[in-house]
Amino acid sequence: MYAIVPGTLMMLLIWIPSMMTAAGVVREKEMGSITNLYATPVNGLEFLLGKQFPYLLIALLNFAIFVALAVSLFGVPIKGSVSALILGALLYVIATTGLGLLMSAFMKTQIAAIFGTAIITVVPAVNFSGLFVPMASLTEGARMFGRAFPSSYFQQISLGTFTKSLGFTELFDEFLVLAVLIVIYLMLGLSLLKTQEQ
Amino acid sequence: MTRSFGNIFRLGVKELFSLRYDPVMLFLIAYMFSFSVFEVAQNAAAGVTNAAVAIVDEDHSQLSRRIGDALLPPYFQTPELLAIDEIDAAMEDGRYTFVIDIPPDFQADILSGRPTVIQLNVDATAMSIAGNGAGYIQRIIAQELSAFLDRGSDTTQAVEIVTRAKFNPNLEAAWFASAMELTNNITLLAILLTGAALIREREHGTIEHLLVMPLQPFEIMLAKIWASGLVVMVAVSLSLYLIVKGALAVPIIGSIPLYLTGAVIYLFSVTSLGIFMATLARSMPQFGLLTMLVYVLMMLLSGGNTPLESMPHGLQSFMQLVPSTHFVSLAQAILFRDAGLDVVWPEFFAAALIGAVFFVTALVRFRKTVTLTQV
Repeated sequence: MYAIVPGTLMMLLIWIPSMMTAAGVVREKEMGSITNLYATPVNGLEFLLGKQFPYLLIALLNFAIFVALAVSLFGVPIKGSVSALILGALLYVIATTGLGLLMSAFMKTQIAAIFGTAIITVVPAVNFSGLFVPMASLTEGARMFGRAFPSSYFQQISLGTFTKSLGFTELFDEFLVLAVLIVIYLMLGLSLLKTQEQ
Repeated sequence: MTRSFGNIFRLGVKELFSLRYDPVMLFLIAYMFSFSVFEVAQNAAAGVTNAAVAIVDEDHSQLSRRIGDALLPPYFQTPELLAIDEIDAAMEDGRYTFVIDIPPDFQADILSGRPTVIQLNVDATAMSIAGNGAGYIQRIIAQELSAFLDRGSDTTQAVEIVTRAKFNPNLEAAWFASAMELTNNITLLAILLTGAALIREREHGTIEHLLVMPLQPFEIMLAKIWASGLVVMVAVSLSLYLIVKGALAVPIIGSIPLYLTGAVIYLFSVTSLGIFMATLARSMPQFGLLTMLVYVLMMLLSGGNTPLESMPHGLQSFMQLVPSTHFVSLAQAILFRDAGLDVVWPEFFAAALIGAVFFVTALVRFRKTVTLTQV
């Protein structure tokens, strides 16, 4: 229970926010309403952040509900730093919604967006993030694959703060990598969005 | 009747065309049934595989080195040496699952018969291997100790247990995991393809064009079922031969045609489920979320991850109503235990029956829900 509950938080906070964000953008593409945005003087960054923000709020609400349930219903205490968990979740959710936005740049149809985010996020989260098999026991290829996605870092933060009683100093590296991933996803998303406008 | 078949055929071909113009989707399907199945199978762990171990050797004796040398692949990685003040940080980072601390003067204490203690630190958050691995390490250390003290002959017991692992002699996780990953992929792709095909027509309004034509709702539904089913069947067959039998070299002793027949029946039931879910959801994002919920439940609870027998009774009975439970069970029976139709027919029957229920329910709801595009 102490191991699976933090892991479930990690899984839910990548699947749902990234899928919802990806579908949100591609939906406008499929319906054609995205041309309205192309026609208005909105720049790429404003568009992306505007699309990301609502899903970010929803995901944070999910996070709050989940943590409340974990502590009250499942009786899993947060032994480490609560603020580290909150900051970690915030960074993670920015990263996962950013990943959703990035995916939406490649997809033309909603089905591809939903299916694509599902298969691209499920495998790294379930198999290559240290949930069932520790990262240290994976083959080299799978470990690299796992490291390219935010799940493996948030798994450490979630496990660390719930079960291993860790705080900011021990988890600094994970925070840093999540921040770097956020910037990478945003940059990639921006560069792909611009080519579409042209 | 013949006209009905013709309609169903042509409508299905239309579905295939719309898939052809979505190259990203085609790429994703290929990725999912090749690379994804391969990597997941390669990294599946049943029991202790490739566990990361570190040793804090404060003794530097022949005996302490001997214990380190006894931890061998494929169960363990070659142990790394660690300083005593590095243990906490290494465990917190999850770099090692096990850290063995051998105290100073360990060998001397053993030889002179003084009691001594080895500390074994286990990262219990590494769920799949923590418990079993700790047992292995204890046994290995005990063996090394008795061999070192030359008491090997004393430990012979009156009863010797000979273990024979049936159906998978080396307990290779990749065999099992590849078949289960294939099942998961079939479920996800079948639900999404069929359901999304219906929702898309609703969102674009083209479903109304279809309904004013001389077509019956069941023809529209069956067309989507056969087209999506065909796509999944092609992907599954290729994946089974090229990836599972080819790249992963899993020896399949059972009958592949029988398995594929089972897959066809299963596909009927999950594609019907997909259409049924599409009549519940009002927009594509709703459908996507609903699919995720259903898919995760089917993936984790139908016996592919945890044996059904280990679940609470209520849940076991509930899972009998879910088609994937029957498919997981028939896939395992056919592929790995060489079961024939005489053994698996109840599973075939159950999957078909559940499929028929979903199909009829979806058919009843079909016309009512056509106009439900907006909340």
